[in-house]
Amino acid sequence: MKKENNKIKNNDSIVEAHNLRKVFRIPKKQKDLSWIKKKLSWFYREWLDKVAVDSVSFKVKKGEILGYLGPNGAGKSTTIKMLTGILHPTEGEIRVLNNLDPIKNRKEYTQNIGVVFGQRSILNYDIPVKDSFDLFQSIYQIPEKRYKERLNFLVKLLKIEPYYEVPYRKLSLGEKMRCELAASFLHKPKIVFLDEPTIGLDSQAKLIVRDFLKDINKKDGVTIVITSHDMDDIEELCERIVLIDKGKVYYDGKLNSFISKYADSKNIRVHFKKILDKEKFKKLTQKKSFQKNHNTITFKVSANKKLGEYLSDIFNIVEVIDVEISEPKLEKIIAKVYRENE
Amino acid sequence: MNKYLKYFKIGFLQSTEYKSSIILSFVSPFIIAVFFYFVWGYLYSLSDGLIGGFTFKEMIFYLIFGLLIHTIRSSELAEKICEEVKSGDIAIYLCRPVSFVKSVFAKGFGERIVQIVMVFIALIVITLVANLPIPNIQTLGILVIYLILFIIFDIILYSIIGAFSFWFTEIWGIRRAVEHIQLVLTGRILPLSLFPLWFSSILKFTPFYYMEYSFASIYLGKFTMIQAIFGVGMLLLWIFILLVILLIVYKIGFKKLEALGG
Repeated sequence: MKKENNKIKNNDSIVEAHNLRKVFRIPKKQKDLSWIKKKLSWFYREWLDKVAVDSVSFKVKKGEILGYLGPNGAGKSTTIKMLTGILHPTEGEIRVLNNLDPIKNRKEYTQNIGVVFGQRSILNYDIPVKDSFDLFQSIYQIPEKRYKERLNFLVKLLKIEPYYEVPYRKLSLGEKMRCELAASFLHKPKIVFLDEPTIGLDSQAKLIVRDFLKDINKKDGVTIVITSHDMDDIEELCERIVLIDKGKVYYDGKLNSFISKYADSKNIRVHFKKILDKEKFKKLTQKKSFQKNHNTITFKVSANKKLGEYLSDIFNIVEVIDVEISEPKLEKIIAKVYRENE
Repeated sequence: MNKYLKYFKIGFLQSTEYKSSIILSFVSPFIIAVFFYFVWGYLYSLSDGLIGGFTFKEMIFYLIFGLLIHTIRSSELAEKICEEVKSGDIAIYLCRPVSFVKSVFAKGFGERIVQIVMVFIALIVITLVANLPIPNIQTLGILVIYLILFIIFDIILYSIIGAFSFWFTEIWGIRRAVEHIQLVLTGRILPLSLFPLWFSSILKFTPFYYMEYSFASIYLGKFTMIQAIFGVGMLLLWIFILLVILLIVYKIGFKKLEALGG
């Protein structure tokens, strides 16, 4: 243990997960049991170990927005729960802030973090949002003056003024999430964990949430760990991602490098004036990946091909007006990675 | 403001959100009271005017008091906690600097404050309208203490039952059972003085003897001051015992939550 302690001491990281492992024991379903045995099975139940997270290690740097990705059931929420001190890791170690343990130093730790679960509410259902905020002021013991300033700032940033005095249950999903965000940032946390904060939101609400996160990250220097199935969230917000699958880290690094590593093709759209070489043009457009539409052709080029050579061929076949080259959507790349891992 | 005072305030605000519910819960007991009136009217017509040491009028008001007190003794809390455990919302308390048990207490008190005041006002109004002997100030003081102890007792008891949902998915069975036990053993539908002597003597060791039965008896002047104070002592003792159980149960429950998740 001591060795590990030394190994993971690093000043610019604020969260460090080291060889995290979480095993759940679930009752084994026994099909071929007689009726009486089934009734009694509560007493001699057999258990099955289900590994949710398996030797996951990663670090979160101070002030960054880290995208924590993975398909459904990959262990994302389990990791977040361990990082926030809700779950005890079966094995491994977590160090947060200044070498704190999320469970042993719960009091100090919880004072400095914010947690938002997209599918769960932290605000009180029956009373106006304002009163819930009031409660948070007391829970985190925020001095009155600082609280007022902070509240003003957040209310403006998230545009929640109109909903502020309305009972929470009367708000729409998007309005609710904006209020949840405000509540989670009230005490100026150092780290905020967001578990699918944009789930079920419309595009406008999503934009507000993203803009807010970008803003607050810059202004407060708050470290953010976010999970989402909306890859636009990730592309907009994160420079770095950690991708897990089946409980194991699959990729940890820059989002850019991830895209160029796993994107196997580029999309090219050529807008042309006229065809120079009819025969070659015909040959070209017979290929599968080609789509012709008036004076535009779109096609895919695999990433390992030399794009320059390819394009110069095209320049000889048609008289080009404009060329557009785009990376495939992160959504598609991720989907492909998930599929290949299955 | 202290965070648990805020929880108290939130409970209070929450209870005032549903005003019609509160009012209805005060009106409905009187429907049952009509039934009692007919039943006991018949029984008293067969007797010499005194049953279990109560006159007909006393009996009716005894039962009305019982029904009124019942309005503040709801087991809803157990269900709410069960919901929070089942949905996993309870885990949120683990990532906030706040104690779940303490906040349940503070909120529960806040939720019931309106009802305590209303019960007390209702009792006084009934006393005046029905021309019952007015209790002296010490008795009234003791009765307020009783009401507060009932609430503490209920919050602890139903929090414990709510905590069962850490182990079982549904708890309404246990909750119902406890409710029915309380319905009979606290003398809400039949004064305990009408129970066989051996049975009511056993009940004196339980907290139930010192609830509705004692409360109404004190109000109607059937108990001496010493009996009333002894009842307070017994209630405090039971509250202490249950509190210890509560703390243990939640300690284990949260340990399990940390291991298994919400």
